[in-house]
Parts: sequence; structure tokens; C-alpha cells
Amino acid sequence: MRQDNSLKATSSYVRASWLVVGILAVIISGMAGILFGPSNVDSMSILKELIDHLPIVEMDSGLSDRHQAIIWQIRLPRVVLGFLVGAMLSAAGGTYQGVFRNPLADPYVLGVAAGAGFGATLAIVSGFGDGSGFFDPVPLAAFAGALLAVVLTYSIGAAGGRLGSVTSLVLAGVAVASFFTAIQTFVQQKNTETIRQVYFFILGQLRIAGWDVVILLLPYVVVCLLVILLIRRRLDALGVGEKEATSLGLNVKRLRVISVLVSSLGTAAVVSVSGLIGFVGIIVPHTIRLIFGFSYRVILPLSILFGGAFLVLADLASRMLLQPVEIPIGVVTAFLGAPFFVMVLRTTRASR
Amino acid sequence: MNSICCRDLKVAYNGTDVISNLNLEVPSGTWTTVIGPNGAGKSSLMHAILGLVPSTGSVEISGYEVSDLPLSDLAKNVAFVPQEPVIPDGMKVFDYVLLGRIHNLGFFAAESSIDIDIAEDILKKLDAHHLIDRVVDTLSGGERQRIVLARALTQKSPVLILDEPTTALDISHQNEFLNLIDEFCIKENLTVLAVMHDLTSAGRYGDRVALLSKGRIEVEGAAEEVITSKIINKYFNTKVTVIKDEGGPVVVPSTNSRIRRRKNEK
Repeated sequence: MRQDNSLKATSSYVRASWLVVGILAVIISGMAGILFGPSNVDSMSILKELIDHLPIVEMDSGLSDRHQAIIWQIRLPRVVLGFLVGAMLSAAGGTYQGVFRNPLADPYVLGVAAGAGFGATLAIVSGFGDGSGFFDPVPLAAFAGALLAVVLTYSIGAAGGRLGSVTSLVLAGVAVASFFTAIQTFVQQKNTETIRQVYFFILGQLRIAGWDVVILLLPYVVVCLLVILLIRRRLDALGVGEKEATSLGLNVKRLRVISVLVSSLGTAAVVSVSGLIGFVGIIVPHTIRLIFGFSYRVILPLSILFGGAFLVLADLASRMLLQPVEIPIGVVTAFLGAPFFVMVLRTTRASR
Repeated sequence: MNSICCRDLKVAYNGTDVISNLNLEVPSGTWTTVIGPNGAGKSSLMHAILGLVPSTGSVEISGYEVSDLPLSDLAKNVAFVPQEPVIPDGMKVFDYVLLGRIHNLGFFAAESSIDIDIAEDILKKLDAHHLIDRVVDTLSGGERQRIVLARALTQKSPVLILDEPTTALDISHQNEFLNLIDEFCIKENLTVLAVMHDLTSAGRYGDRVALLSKGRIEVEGAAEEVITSKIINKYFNTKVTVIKDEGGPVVVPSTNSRIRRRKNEK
């Protein structure tokens, strides 16, 4: 008998050490995002300023009011925004890959990006988005466009169920995305004077907007991430296909609707303020899958931590590399992310 | 008492009946094997009993009407070993086996230590506990089928449905696998409905054999009554010889031209 009872049986889970590394990554990237920026503020003073804000400790940083405002009203909210956007896009990407059982699925697979781009472009060319008004309608229009696209994709995909609902949903997403991209490009070309602004939205940019945007975004991201974390075990069961998962007692349709709903809603919310940041939703979950394991119990929580940290760093690079000009963050994520991903892919394949 | 009971069962795809007015009863604690030519509707019958395809008429499992049961309750009552299991990329064996407990979890909940114990216990009984940290898609065919069986048994349901579970296995692994199921089911008093391709194995495993042809059960009874050369030749449209053996009928393909030539040369 080959009975080896010394093996301890556990399901895949996030080891405490991985969690610590993830949290460290978030803290380090956050510190970097606060310490460095285009306006020269002394790093030591910033550290003192941060320590001063810890409970009990009193310390005089010697920073002027202007510099204090830069730290607390510009850099910190931007870091938090970067974290939320990165975490949401990565977790949504991982969820879509699980739901559609397709490694290339990303947060934009159902037309979210094209819809948001279309909405934002409309708002920008109609002149409401020049920042002169009381509030900025571009995110609102982007959010509406993204939701419209998802609703369209879902109703078309669910109606044409003959190919199997997953395939028809993805194909519907392709159709909706091309359609919205076509109109968006048409509108953009007709209004060349705003093309730069549109361009920045399409390639992604974390707008400096203080805490308002962060607070607006927070409930969407928190709720969506929470639901994604709660259903992560069930996403593993989808790996055996619809028939077998159903025979195991899983309500596949309900799980699919919930997953698609929260991922799309979360994605729509973040792209409405960040623009269309590509690659994060594919690269982050896959890197984690290759390093830490294939279970969604592991992929999704770690995608939130590392995805958030990655985007904070990418945003820092987008601010610093060509300062005072900001590079669109989508360019940075692709430029840094793609080679890193290739490296991870090569090294893990070799060691397997 | 019957664990599975189909009455006037009908399954249609695009308006064509693949199962029509089928009646079948499987008494509790017994093994019934379904045989039949390709396209007879064997897989459709299994899927209808599992509630995976829409059907009319009635299917009862342990006295419950299948269409009335929520999926999670259905999975508590019947488990399924598919013909070609879909193996997820990179999934650990223990994660895979634990999927059998999903019917027992709340929508947002995690497995308890009881679920873990059940899965471990099944793996030990199937002599597969040493595989827990392996990745399913790196297992050999025999090991893999054992893990798929472990997942089904971890559901702890009294009824087990097998759809040609040994198609991918060589003869030694076929024997090993079927004996494993047989012993387990006798010990735990499980009810089995199995589709089997190999007619000799079909006669050896199972208290009863049901022959399915064109969506109907044409013959049903003990193996010796169903697996006869007359019946097999008629419904499979072929020529076989059936030899009597104490373990059950042995089905041998008919004489072909090469054998005839060899005979003549002698």
C-alpha cells in the first residue's frame, strides 16, 4: 500500500508569508508614491511629516503649508487612487479569466473600455469636460458608456445562446466593442481640437483630483472586491466546465451573472476616473498564477495587493520619467509590464 | 425501494427525440449497467437523470423529483463521473477532490474541517491519498480517473452515475478501476447506474443490464438474459459470439476473413 498519511491535506490558500510580501509591496510602493514627485519636497521632511501623523508621536517636519498640501492633498490621494484602480482592474481581470475560462479575458472583454471611451469622448468634445464647471462630467459619461456597453453585450450574448453562453457572450463583447470604438473614433476625428484630451483618456491617466474622486470611487471598489473575494472558491469549480460544475451542485448561471456584474461595475467605476489602462488586468493575475499557483483562492486576493502596488509604481513612473510631462499610464504599464511578464513566463516554464 | 425511477422520460434536441417514453427503475443498493449502440441516447439518458438537459416526463432520485430539487440538493443525492472529465489547468488534486463538497457550502462560504476530513477519508479508501499535492493534469490516466471518482464520492450521495468511465484506460486499469468502484459501492451500499461500452465488462459488473436502442430500453434483465448473441446482433447490427463463463457472458467479435483464411490453409 502506498499510503502516505504524513501529507497534510489542505486546499490551496494564501500563505501568511505571501500576504506579508503583498502588504509590504503595497506599503513600499505607497511610500515611493508619496516621497517622489515633480515638485521637489525634501524626502526626510516628508518622512517626519508622515511620522508626525501617527498617533502619540509628535514630530516637527518643518514643511511649509504648501508642501504639506502637496503631500496630503495631491500625492496621497493619487497613491490611494492608483491602488484602487490597480487592485480593481487586476481582480476583475482574474475573475473574467475564471468565468470565461479564457486566459486572454481582461476587464475590457465585454466592451467596458470601448463604452467608457465613447462616453468620455462625447463629454470632452461637447465641451463640458474642460474642467471649468462645478464638477467634471467626463467620469460620469465614461461610467454611463461603460455600463451601457456591458448591458448591450450581456443582452445580445444571452439572446444568442446557441454557441454556449460563454462563447456568445465574448463574441457579443467583440461586436459591441468594435461598434463603440468606431463611433468614438468618428466623433474624435470630427473634433480635432480636443484630440489630445481624448487621447489621454484612451491611454489612461490618474487625474490629480484630491480626495473627492477617491471617496466617490471607494464604495464601488470595496463592494466589488469584497464580492469577488467571497466567490473566489466557486470560480475554481468553473474550471471543470458548465456541465460538471452543475452536477457538483453549483448554480453556474448565478455565479456567472454575479461575477460578470461586479467585475464590470468595478471596472466601469475605475476607468471612469483613470481612463483605459491596459495590460494590468491580464499581466497581474497571470504573473500571480505562475508564481503562487493556479487556484483563484490565491490569485484573486494577491491580485488585489500586487495589482494595486504595481499601478502605484506605474503611476510614479508616468509622473517622473519625462517630467514635467506626464506619460499616459497605459503606456507605462505596457512598457514595464510586458517584458516583466515575458520574464516570469520564461522562468516559470523552465522550472516546471 | 427504487433509487432511480424514470417514467415516460423524453429528451429532445431541436425537435428530434433522443429519448422517448423511457421507463427505468434501479433498486437501491444495486448496480444497473446500460449498454447500447452509438447514438442510442445513453449519454442523454445520464444527463437527463442528472438534470443537466431539459426533459419531460418524470425522473425521481431517492424519491425526489429531479426537476423540483435545487441543484445543491440534487448533488447531495446523486454524483456523476463523466466520460471525458474536463481537467482544469494546474489544479491541485486536493482542490479538485474538494469540489465534491461544494453543494454543502453556502454561496460565499469556505469548506469546514468536516469537508476536508470527508475528502481525505475518500482518498485514503481509494488508495490515492499520496496524490493530494500533485497537479491533476500531470497524473497518469489511471490516477486521474481515480481522482475524478474521488471527487464524485466526496459528494457523499447515495446514487452514483458513471458514463463510460473506463474508455481511456488500458485493461489492467479498467479492471482495477471497476473493482474499486464495485467494492466501494457494496461496502457503502451505493446505487450505481453505469453506461459501459465493453459488453463483457458490462455483464460482469452490475446486477442488471438494460439495453438502450433508439431512445428506448428494449431489453432489461440479468446479464445472461440480455447479453446473448441474438439480442446483441439484432440491436448492434453486427455479428458476435457470446460464450458462457461463470463470471458472466463473454462477447467475442465474429469470425472475420483473416481467420477464415487461416482456417482454410490448415
